[in-house]
Amino acid sequence: MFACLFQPSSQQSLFDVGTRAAEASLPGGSGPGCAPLDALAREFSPRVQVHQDALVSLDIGGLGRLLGTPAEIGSELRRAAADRGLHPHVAIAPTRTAAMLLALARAGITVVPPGGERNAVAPLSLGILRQVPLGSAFVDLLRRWGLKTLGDLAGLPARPLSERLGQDGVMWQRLARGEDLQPLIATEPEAPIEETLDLEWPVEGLEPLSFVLARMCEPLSGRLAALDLAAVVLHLSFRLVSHETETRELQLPAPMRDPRVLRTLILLHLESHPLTGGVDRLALRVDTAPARITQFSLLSRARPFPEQMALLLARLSALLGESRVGAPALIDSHRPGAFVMARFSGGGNGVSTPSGHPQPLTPSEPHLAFRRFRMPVPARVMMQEGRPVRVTTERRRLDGGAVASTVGPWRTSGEWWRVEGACPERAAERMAGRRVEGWNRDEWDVALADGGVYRIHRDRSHDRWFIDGIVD
Amino acid sequence: MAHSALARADLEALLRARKLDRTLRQADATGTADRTPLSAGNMLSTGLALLDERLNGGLPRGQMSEIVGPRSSGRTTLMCAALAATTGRGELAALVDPLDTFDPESAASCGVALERLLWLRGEGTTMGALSPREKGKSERVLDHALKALNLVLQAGGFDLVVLDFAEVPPDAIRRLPFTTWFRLQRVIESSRTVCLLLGLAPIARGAEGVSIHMAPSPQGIWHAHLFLGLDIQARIVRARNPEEGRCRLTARA
Repeated sequence: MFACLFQPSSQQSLFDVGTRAAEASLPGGSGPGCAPLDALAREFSPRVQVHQDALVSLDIGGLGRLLGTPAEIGSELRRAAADRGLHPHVAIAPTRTAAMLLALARAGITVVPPGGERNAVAPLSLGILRQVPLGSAFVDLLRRWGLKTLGDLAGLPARPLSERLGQDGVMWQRLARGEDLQPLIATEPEAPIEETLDLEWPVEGLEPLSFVLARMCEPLSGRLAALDLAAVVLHLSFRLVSHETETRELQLPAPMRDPRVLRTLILLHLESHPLTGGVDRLALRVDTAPARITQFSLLSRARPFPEQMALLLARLSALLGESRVGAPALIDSHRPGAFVMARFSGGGNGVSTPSGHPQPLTPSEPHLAFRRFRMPVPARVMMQEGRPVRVTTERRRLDGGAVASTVGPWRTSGEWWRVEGACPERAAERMAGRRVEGWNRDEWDVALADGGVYRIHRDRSHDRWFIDGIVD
Repeated sequence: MAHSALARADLEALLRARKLDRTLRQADATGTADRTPLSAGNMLSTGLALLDERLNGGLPRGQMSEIVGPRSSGRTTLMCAALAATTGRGELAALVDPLDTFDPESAASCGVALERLLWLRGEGTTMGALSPREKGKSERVLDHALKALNLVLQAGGFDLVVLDFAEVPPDAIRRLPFTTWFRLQRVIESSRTVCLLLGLAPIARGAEGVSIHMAPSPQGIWHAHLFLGLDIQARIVRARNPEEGRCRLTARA
């Protein structure tokens, strides 16, 4: 025997779902009893399947010796629910499907004797199939055929139905007869995966902390492996000797559970974001995801594992700074030199061809590259007949000289609606997103006597010259 | 004279037997160089057909190679071409850029698949940051760059790793311990990674690596107030062969 609990939303409360109004309502997850319904069901049986947040099935086989008849079990379920402030629909039937349909359709307690499931669900409207978690795309079609109740669908001959609707039609007919399509699949209760450690004396510094973290990561990794899960987010909580609590959150680039990798990532994070004092209590909680399955290919080159790449990026971030490690990405802007730093993932969508594969497009005339000074170099430019004839700077190894050839000017401006007066000396601030200003400039390409070809520009707002970079 | 020739032959035979000098792989018994090219799988294409032909297929994998030359000689163009060829095949590349002079927009127009390029930006802002007056900062910038390069090479998985010292003063590079380059070469030996150095003057190369010396460009190609591009002239240098070939290319603006 199976029982099914359905907690309607507040607007839906108690109603006769045989009506069309009830047919349109769906058992959403916004009902007042979502997680409590799951907990309630687990008090009665370990075999519980959560279909949706407000719809739970449980196997009550064997409960009769403890609680009595099915009707008494239903009453006990209602009473326990009322203690929690819930008023779910309760249906008990020999099949899980019949119990679910009746719980969706009828308020109160419905008990179906063995063998009576087909007759019990027959009066229900076809629209109830919309509320079954599997859904129904056939309800409208069946209504156009003139069918109104589940009994009408159950009474159709199976072979003509299969010829018209295929196996899906047969499946829906079995549902309409209250037959189970699959057995109950018990779901495990979601327990938080976390480790907490109280230290006898406070630890300070990364080295002693690494031993403590190893003691936490290894059992946690073992639990993840037992559940075939992996960590995607690490939530760290440190209670300091000053009785303050510092919390950290590490987003992992891919699900992983190798304890050494997790420990190293935490240590590298703490290296670049140190704690303010000694630690006397640690808590580590993980958000989980299904473990990663790696399919290797014989035709494409192996890429580094996400764990290895995450470790490499963490080490590089600790060395250079987080904002200085990643993959460059262009942005939709005409601002010279505009880009953002994106997280480097190795272009996971790309398909690598076998090594040694000939390049189909090997250009004989490469495109010229540009080397940009992230902070443009202030310059002095002598003009003659509207063209630069001499460029000099005060920077060592960038002395400049007479202009041998020149092209320009190209006038560009943009984002004038922002703060007026772009100042190239604040380029680093602008690139970091702290301050964004407009730009208004005349660009020139000049070849100097030292043999270099440079791009220079005049900031029209401040009438100052700068060297942008080298054509190289 | 005959005695010294015999001693040299004995020494080379010993080194060959112990595999201590990989340059001997290219020499036959008569001392002339073996021109048999390495298989294509052991070479990394530079993305330029003419240069690949002169290099017998490209840059040797598992070796440190270098591109050296003055400003506007085409160093960055060659670097971007190699990055474009590598990332275009779906392989990963990394660029250690201590002075933060890489221009993603220009690289994208050269064909570099930016999502497959790991860009490590140093804190150096201009070449002035490495002036002798700021020796401490100069040493820190170079130290971080070399540590980052070492981490990337140790991690593996990257087919091309570029260290861009093109704007770093040669005297600052000369202050680095010479064992630095031996150590880095040992890291990539037996791997498929090409470590490519960019510099103003020769820095280092592996025993089987190549040096591509860029000749100063005569101030680009200009025509009627239009800048058309650069005339790139490359000279290829290998161990025991100071001038193996020349290559002339035109980079279009």
